[in-house]
Amino acid sequence: MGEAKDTGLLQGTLDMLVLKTLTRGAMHGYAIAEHIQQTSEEILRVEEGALYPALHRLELRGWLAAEWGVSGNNRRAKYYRLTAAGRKRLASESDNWRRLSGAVMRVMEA
Amino acid sequence: MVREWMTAAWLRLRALFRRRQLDRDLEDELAFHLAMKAERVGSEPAARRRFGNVAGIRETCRELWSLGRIEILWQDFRYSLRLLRRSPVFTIVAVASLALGIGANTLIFSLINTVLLKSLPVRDPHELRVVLWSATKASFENYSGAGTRPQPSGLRTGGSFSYPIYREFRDRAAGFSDLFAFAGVHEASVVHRGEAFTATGLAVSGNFCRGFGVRALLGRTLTPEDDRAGAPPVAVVTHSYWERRAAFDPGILGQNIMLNGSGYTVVGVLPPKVYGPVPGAETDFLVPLSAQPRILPRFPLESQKHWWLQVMGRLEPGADERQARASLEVLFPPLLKASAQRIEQAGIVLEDGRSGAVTGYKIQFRRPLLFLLGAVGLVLLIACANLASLLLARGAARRRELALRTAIGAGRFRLVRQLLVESLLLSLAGAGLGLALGASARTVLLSQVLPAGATARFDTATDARVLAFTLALALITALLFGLGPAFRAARVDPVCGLRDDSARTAPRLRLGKGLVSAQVALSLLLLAGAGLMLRTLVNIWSVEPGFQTEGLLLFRLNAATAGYKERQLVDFYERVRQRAAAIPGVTAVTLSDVRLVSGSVSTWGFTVPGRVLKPGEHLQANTLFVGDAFLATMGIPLLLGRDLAASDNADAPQAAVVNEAFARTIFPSEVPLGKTFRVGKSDIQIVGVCRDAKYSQLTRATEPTMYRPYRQKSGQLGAMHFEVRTATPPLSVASAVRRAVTVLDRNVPLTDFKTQEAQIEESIAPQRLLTILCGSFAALAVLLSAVGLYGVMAYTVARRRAEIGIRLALGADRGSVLRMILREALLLVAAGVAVGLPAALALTRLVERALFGVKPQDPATFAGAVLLLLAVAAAAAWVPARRASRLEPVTLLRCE
Repeated sequence: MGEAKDTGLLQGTLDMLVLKTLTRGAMHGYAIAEHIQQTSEEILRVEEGALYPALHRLELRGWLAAEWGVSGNNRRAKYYRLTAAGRKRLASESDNWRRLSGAVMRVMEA
Repeated sequence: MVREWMTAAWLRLRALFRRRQLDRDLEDELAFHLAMKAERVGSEPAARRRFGNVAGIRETCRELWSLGRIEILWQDFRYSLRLLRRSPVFTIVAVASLALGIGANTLIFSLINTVLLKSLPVRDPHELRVVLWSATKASFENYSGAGTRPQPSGLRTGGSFSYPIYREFRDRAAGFSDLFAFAGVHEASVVHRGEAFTATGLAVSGNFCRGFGVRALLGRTLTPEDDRAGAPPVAVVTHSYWERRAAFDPGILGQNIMLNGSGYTVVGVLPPKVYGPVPGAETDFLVPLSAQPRILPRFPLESQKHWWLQVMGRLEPGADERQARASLEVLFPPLLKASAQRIEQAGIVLEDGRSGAVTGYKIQFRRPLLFLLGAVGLVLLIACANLASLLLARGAARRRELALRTAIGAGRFRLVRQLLVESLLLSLAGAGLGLALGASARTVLLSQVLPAGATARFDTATDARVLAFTLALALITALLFGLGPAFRAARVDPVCGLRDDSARTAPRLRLGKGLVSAQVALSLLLLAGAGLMLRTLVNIWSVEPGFQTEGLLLFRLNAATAGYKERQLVDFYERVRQRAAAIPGVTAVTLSDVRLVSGSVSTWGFTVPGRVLKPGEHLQANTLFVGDAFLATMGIPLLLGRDLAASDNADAPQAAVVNEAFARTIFPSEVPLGKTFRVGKSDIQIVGVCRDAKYSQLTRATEPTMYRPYRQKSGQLGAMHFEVRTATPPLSVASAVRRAVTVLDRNVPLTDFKTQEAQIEESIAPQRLLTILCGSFAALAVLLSAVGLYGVMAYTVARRRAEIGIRLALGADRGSVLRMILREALLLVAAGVAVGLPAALALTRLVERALFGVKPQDPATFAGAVLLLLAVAAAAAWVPARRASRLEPVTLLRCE
């Protein structure tokens, strides 16, 4: 995936970050990107070219549900929220991530 | 995992039908993002720059939601539907001709399915086998039930065995879980619930129900215990009997039912649609074989000479069929020694029994149905050729559209696929319509050929097999007529196709013309077949039966089943005869043991004292046991001697009248009158010679026949057929005849009431039906070919408008233009005839057996078929030819 390389994010990682972000409640795509960027202190920049295909893929898999609402500045926006399946998915992915990053850390610090 | 996949599939499918909404949503979502970003960055162009390729994102997301290939197919489908809707005339013509072509095939196949293929409604029908004997030569003294028939291998096979042989098979054969036997009980006289009527049943071995695999709906089935000597007499009735005679009264269990004068207790009712192992045969009751002496007195159980039982078996699960057959074949020859039947090289054949025993309707309809399947196959081929030429013309007319699509980047494969989807839509619509047509015609057709009531005993419902056949036909048809034109049309050069649109540059229709010739060739096959069938029918109609068929009423009485015996029986029949003769309007009444032209025949062997025969040769003649003045009553002219009379009774010397064929073959150089011959132990003297008359069927040559007094018939006398000669229309005395019989004894069943003419019509019903169907199919074929020829000629004329205009302007007269176009059309037809004629001459040989009085290469029939085809073709080409000759050269040339 070309785009994944550009953002410096592995595709699976972006999925996980999106899922994690949505545990805070329903959000539209722009807010999700902003949140990830801010929380990571501008280290992780989410490209739209990767974000929207990811959101739609997650929706098709049934991990996200989407509905149309009105944003703070009165515009029509598509809000994504986590489904029960998405929550389960997030749990297993963060487990995986924790194991993987822990292992990497151990190797690096040995 | 599965759930995820399901969710995705469902969402995608939903998206498929909301494609526009989805696109709008995607647009909005990205626009919203862009707007938010613009607010933050300050300017929209900057935001857009930072955003990257919007169209790319949109495409990526849209692809996520699509169904891939299926979606493209869906697009093709919708596009094709739109196109077809835009040319309704083409669509209607195409669907209608396909509906007729496919419908005719569905009709005939579903008849084949109903009569020949459908499994019986029993447990595991695939385990059932029909046991047949095979031999190089076989002759019998007493054989009935499943008739013998020749096999392609040159052997004869037959399905009836004697009870002692069956018993050995049952007790000693390996590989069968059950070997069971049955024989039809026709016209049993029944008294049940206070009513007397006749019914048809089966006498079955005790293991029949278990082996055949039927359960009882009510009560129980028959068991081997019921078949032991001395067991209490019991019977099981079928569902249709229960409905008709007992109005579904559950109290029928335990009731007493009188069959041919002895009582049985009803112990069970069979489920609906179960009639027995002979498809379509009427069955009201089952009784164990142990009831034989009372119910089938003509077939003694222990006799080695009487072969009357049909045998079927159920293979053990996992058993080797070859071993099962071999075990029977080892048992068979030694059993023949005792039976005194002449069978050479006796063997055993097992046939698939899932669709029942191979008798009756299955044999009668097999050939005609297969023949018709060939005919409707030809019709469908013609419809395909027709459609292909229509599509070719349409493809030529659509060159501009196709060129445009190629120019904007549609691949050739994509074009072909879309055109094929179009063909598929047409053929599926045709198949749907054809299925409906076929289904409604099927029941009507069946009731035309089967005796009243028999249709209901066939399972005529459209089943998966018929549906699969129709669907497969639709797919094959679509490929057959669609593939060529699709490739042809897709081979369009965008530059050339777009440059101009005039008909002048439209391609020639060489393939289309070839297709027209092919249609003509195929039509010729069908026309020749139909012509031969028609000649056959006319020939049968014009056969001289040798007796007077008008003013003759027939009915059948069976006093034997009502308990009359020997002298009593003769007395009873004689009383009926006198009563009937006394009815006003009746001029004479006689009787015979077989009715004429009913397909039945009884043949007896005899010897001539003092004559030495070659080894293997034996004399036999058709035999009819008749009442007084039979020849006079039937109108068979007497040539020598006297007619049979009341004085030829059991105490008088045995007498016979013989026909000319008998006299010619047996006593070629002598005066036959007064000669004697010997049947069994009695000498019979010839007292008269009469003209030849038809016996079993009109299409059979008259064979040596003897007429003998029924009072002198040895052995048990059974049912008799009465012939009532009337001065008034025969049916006008029917009710009086019926009353006369009921007055004498209301327990004697009176059946088969019909005029001799109706009897003859019935005997040729299959030929008549075959002629009608074949004729209709041929008419359909000619019509389709005419439409095809018209289409191609109209196209040619349109393409050559300019050329014709120039010709006319240069002074060609209109007649020569007309002739030019007609000549071109007739050339196509001539090419078709040139191919079709030799093919038809070769193929009609296959139906030789179905013909009567006409050779398969009958020149008159073929000439007629060719002439008819030429006339229809000329008429079809006349319209475009005339249009061409009427063209105005001035306007034409100005347009171009």
